[in-house]
Amino acid sequence: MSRNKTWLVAAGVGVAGVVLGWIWFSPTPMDPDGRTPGQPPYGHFSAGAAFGPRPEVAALIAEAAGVCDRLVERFPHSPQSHDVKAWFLYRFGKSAEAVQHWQRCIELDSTFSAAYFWMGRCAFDQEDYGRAVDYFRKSLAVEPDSTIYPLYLAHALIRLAKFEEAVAVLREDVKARPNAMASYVLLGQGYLHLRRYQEARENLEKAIALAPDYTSAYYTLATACERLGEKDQAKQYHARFRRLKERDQKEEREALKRHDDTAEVRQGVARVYSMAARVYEANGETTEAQSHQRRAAELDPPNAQDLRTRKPREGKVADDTALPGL
Amino acid sequence: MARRVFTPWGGAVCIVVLLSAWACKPPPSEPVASPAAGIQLLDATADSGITFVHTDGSSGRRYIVETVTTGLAVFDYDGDGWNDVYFLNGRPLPGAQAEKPPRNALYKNLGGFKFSEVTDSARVGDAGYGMGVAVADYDNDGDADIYVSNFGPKVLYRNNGDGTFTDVTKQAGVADGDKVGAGVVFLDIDGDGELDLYVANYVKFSFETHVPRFREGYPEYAGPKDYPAEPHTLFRNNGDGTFTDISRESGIAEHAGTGMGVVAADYDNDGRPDIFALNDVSRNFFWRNDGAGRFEEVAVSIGAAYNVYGDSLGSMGVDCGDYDNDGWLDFFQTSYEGELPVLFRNLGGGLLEDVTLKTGAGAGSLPHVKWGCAFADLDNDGHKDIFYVCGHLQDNIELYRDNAFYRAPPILLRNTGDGKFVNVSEAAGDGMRVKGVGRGAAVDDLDGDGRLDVVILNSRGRPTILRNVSETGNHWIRIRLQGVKTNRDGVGARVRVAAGDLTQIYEVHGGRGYQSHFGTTLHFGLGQRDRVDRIEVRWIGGGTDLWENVPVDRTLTIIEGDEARGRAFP
Repeated sequence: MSRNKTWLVAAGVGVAGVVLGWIWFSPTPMDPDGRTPGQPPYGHFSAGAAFGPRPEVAALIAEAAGVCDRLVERFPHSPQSHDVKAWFLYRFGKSAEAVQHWQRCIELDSTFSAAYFWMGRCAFDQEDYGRAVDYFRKSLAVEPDSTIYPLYLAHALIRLAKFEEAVAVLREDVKARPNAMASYVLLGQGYLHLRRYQEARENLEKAIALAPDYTSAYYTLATACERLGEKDQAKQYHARFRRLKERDQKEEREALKRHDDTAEVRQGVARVYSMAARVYEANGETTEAQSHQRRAAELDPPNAQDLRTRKPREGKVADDTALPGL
Repeated sequence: MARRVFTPWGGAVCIVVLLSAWACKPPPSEPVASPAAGIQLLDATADSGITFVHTDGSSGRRYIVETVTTGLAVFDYDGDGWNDVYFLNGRPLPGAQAEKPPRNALYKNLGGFKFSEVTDSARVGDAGYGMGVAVADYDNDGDADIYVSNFGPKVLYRNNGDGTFTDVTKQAGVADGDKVGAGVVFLDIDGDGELDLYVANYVKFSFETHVPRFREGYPEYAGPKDYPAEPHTLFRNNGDGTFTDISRESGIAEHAGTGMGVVAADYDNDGRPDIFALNDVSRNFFWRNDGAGRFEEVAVSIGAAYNVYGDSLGSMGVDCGDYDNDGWLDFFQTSYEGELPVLFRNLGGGLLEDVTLKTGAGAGSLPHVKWGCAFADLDNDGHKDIFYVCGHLQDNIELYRDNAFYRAPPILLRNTGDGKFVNVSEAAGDGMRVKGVGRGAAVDDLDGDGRLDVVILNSRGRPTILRNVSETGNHWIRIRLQGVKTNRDGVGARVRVAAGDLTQIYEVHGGRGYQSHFGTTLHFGLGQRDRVDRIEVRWIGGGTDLWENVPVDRTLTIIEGDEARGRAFP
């Protein structure tokens, strides 16, 4: 064998030896869960049912996605079309993409208050309370008569421990809307955090005068009375709270038994159709609007009438939006 | 002719030797953090020797019990002065097959942050479906015993004192039927020197009553509201190795709950331990002890049942500690995603106040499901910080939500010393960036260096071991109690440590956090104070001992009745 070939063979043996040694001595690669590659996802056990969605539900969601895509393609410069798509994305768990479409709403119409509001909610969900406050302030600046925006703004301020500012927002709201029950509840909470128990009590008592069965108002009211040394009154409010809480929990358990995931998805998809129908209608495409409305009625017959009679959302948030913490 | 020194084959051998030497280089030297870095927790899992892998026994059918397993215990099982680790495990549930039967595992601490499994020799490899654990010397014979709460019959392991345990469940009468167990605590309810046992139970569940659920078409786990609640259990220690179920006569059985983490503590400073038991999405229980074997449930009236607004939370773990050093024990509980945890400040006078927002104790928490937690002075500055672990219970959540996470890193809130907390998670070392599906967490000193370390049990995976390498230069003292007339471990004893302008209190607990156990030896950070002026120990059901002028940076064993007033320490 020539000398060069000998060196080559020797080098090859050397490298092979190192590689074999590395394989022998290096630890078995493990993923963060401590499983060796290829091991089933359930530790020691073999996997069973699939992770993925039921086909009929996946098909419904895909159907709604198609409605949104066609709507945005048809009306790319309409903030309402982007709002529909954004709502669909948010509803079905894609809040990051939803924010992009609400951002587009604002680029097309800087007075689209609903877009600011929903971006505020997305920020709130991610614990970015500062950004949430900014968005809620913007939505309120565009639509100062909203019954919803002050509450969310105050709630985000409370999360930032800016209790005085939250109270100021809510006091303005009740001045304009003396029957705003939710604002009195939040005022009570704000004053409680500030340890201004008498004011907490006064506002919470206004809340229960407007809504005698509003459960959580009694809990904070009892706390305020306790701090004021009015222990008997606190006991009475606690007793009322317990009864209402038992009622609520019973209703929750009953509602859970009736819960139908597919029906909820159908309702969500029906709403997408209905929102899209209003955009088509607003743009004079009546035939398309009617076909969308028909499909909404097929998907969610009990709510079909309600969906049909709502006007297109012109940047405003409907009053039925669920409020956190209330 | 010159002698050939270097041949091709010799060269090949040299290459192999040199490169092999490089591949087998020694591990890096002990990690060091700079003083400016604050609390630093490094991931020490890989080199620890701990090979435990948790399983929830799942097969895809999504039984509710899979979501809540399990806790762990850190304690010195063989009395050699080193804290050992006991992990609970699941077992195959219907639909799952086991390649190798899983079981609980005990790891002996060898020192130097190395551990070795001793499950077989210790005989503690229970193959039940582990949920919670508590440790204490229930028979006062000088060594730590283990109570394991299972989905199914529970198990009591009596420590034989020779590195082995015996299952004495049947003789002791503490199997507690066939329930879904949860957190457990040992406590001396009547000050008779015998440790009793409070057992939280979760929900009434069987495979036949399993409720399948879906969300956006994806299979999801049912929650506790899908099942009936279950009363908790209280066992009184008869002092002869047996226990009696006194749930009815004590008042405990009057209320059914969806039990999770539990901690026992004398919250009203009346010398009797009370019990804070969390219930998942239902009102918590707070049992005030009358000292005569009866407990009154007072959570709503004292402010412990819910958060400040009266909302039920997905309550998980609870710990106890005096975070503001005002002489009253406070509580911290973890909660579900979209909810803040709750820091309950003890106002004295029997009342608790939710101060989460005011103190910043909710920072970093909202997107996560939160579990095992601990008050722990991780930088030894004399103020207890808060540590807790996260991890979702819906294993497929990321398929239908882009703002929720199955795996998540833990959260560390540093106590600033003025009643506030700051989220320092991202700056507290590489260990704080390890994402897991955290459940139980235990905080204790694993390497005897006076800094508290962390062990996290991750569902369906390996644990995470965090080594505390904070270089703060702060002093500390650790106190191990040994009862003589009172229970041997000093469970429930109140210790007050005064050093200069800093006075702290603490209690020994037999079970805490998320269905876990740790901290039998009490740890006090002292900041720059280099001497302890006084240590007072109020033994539960017994008297008070006083030590003065105690040196720092050591572990002190205090034996009931053995005062060292004025003793000169080296």
